[in-house]
Amino acid sequence: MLGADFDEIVAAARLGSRSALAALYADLQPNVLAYLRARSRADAEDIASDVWVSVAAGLQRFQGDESGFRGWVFTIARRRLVDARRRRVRRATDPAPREVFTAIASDVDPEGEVVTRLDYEAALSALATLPRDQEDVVLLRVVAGLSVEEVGQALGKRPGTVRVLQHRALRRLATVLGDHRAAHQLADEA
Amino acid sequence: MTAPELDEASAEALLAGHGADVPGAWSGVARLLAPLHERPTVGGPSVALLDRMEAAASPRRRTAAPLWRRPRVVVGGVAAFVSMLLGFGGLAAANALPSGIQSFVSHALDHIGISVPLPHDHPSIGAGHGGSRGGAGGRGGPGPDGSSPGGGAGGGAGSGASEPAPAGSQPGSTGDPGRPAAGDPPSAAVPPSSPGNAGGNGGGKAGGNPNNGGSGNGGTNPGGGGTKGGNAGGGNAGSGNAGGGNNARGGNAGGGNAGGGNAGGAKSGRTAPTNRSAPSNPGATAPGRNATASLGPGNARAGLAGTTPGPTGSPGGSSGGANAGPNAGSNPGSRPGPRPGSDTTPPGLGGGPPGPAGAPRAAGRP
Repeated sequence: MLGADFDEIVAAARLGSRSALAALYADLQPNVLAYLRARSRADAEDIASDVWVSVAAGLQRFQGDESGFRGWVFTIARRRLVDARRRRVRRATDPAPREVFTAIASDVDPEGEVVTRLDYEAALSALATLPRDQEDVVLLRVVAGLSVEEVGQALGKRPGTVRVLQHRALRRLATVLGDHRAAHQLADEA
Repeated sequence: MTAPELDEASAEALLAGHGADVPGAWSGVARLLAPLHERPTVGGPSVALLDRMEAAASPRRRTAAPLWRRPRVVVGGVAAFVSMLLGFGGLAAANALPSGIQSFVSHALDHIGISVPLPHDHPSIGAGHGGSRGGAGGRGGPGPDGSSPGGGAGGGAGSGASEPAPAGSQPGSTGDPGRPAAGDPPSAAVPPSSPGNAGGNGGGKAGGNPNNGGSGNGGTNPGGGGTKGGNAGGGNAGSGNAGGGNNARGGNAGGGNAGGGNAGGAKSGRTAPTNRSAPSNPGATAPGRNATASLGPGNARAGLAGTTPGPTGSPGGSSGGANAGPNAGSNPGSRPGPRPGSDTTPPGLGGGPPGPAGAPRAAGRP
């Protein structure tokens, strides 16, 4: 969070200050990238670049505080995701995720990385069972780290609606997990 | 399996990644979401990306597009042009433009086959010009029994009136006598005797019935009248009914026609303006009165309609009507025909020769 410096940084970024733009990027890029990876692993980096160019281009029009800025950035991120999906449909190719090569080239513990990777994939798979709007709310709240109000701004929904959606999503996840656990217990007993 | 109850604080703790703060029944969900809380480690933006961001963020001045490439300007221009065209065309068609512009537009549109009235084509200013052609002679026709052939009246001649003429002030040329009916000498050909704009119109068509005598005047191209409508007057007067020959009520019909119909036929193709003037002609009403007069014995003579002067040099329609009326009515003494002449009287042989051309118009149209 930029806190009290937010207005000053944004004002400088509007004038094209590279340091101000870099500060905004550093503050939000991890969340943006996490969200984009959860949505589109293949080209998350490219989409993130487009998001930041769009953010820089739209700074002249932006009005609001830091919370509003975060919601606005993720609004742009969702739109760029849609654009990327359309391009992908037209291109009809599916390149290998960059993480595959990163994992191969990294010197971290491969076993631990695989376990983490599996947990991450399992979480995304569980979220994929949710309705689209509930999945969006959970991703933005958990992966992007947005507040209820910021999620509401990014999705164009009221905060109350966001709360209802996230509550339903969590209950649904619990039900799915319970079913899986019961199934595993039955399998173990058998 | 149903999920346990979840309060809002526990939901917030789950979504924020504080697994320790959630009830035990929700620990599974907390463990499921835990990997999603991890943020990827990212460095600063690349130089290329910063360049793009900087270029995008820098206030740039857009060069204004040329005027002719702005859609709104183009659409507005086209709309204005079309509106002006329609408005101008409407005013021109209504003869509502100033005379100079109206004349220019009329001539310009004539080149592409669009007829737009000239400034002087206005019905209200059509009086006073002499007719250009005399009426054709009527046709005589034998009576059904051959005993009383009808004679065609003389065709009318156009008058040379060039200014608004007072009633009867411009003598008309004499009409050509109608051609005698076949087999029968014309008996009631009436030479045009009266001056006037009404160029006189042709001889009687009928005359067939012995009782009726020569009838209406068949002039088709009467002179007289004003520039536009003027020709009309005579023409209609001679349209066969004026004399009442065909009908005991011949005068009636003649009058009616005199006022109206031929008004349009006078000038070359410019029928509309003169037709408009016709209904307002007093001539149209004159025949009515005359018709009453001619209810008496059939008309012994016909074709007078075209030969008498128009009362005025005003639009021909009126003069024609006036001519037709009085003449139709001035044929008293004849007995009405036993039946309409049109039923009993075969048509005459043919129209007489057209009347001599009227005097050239002196100050008619510019």
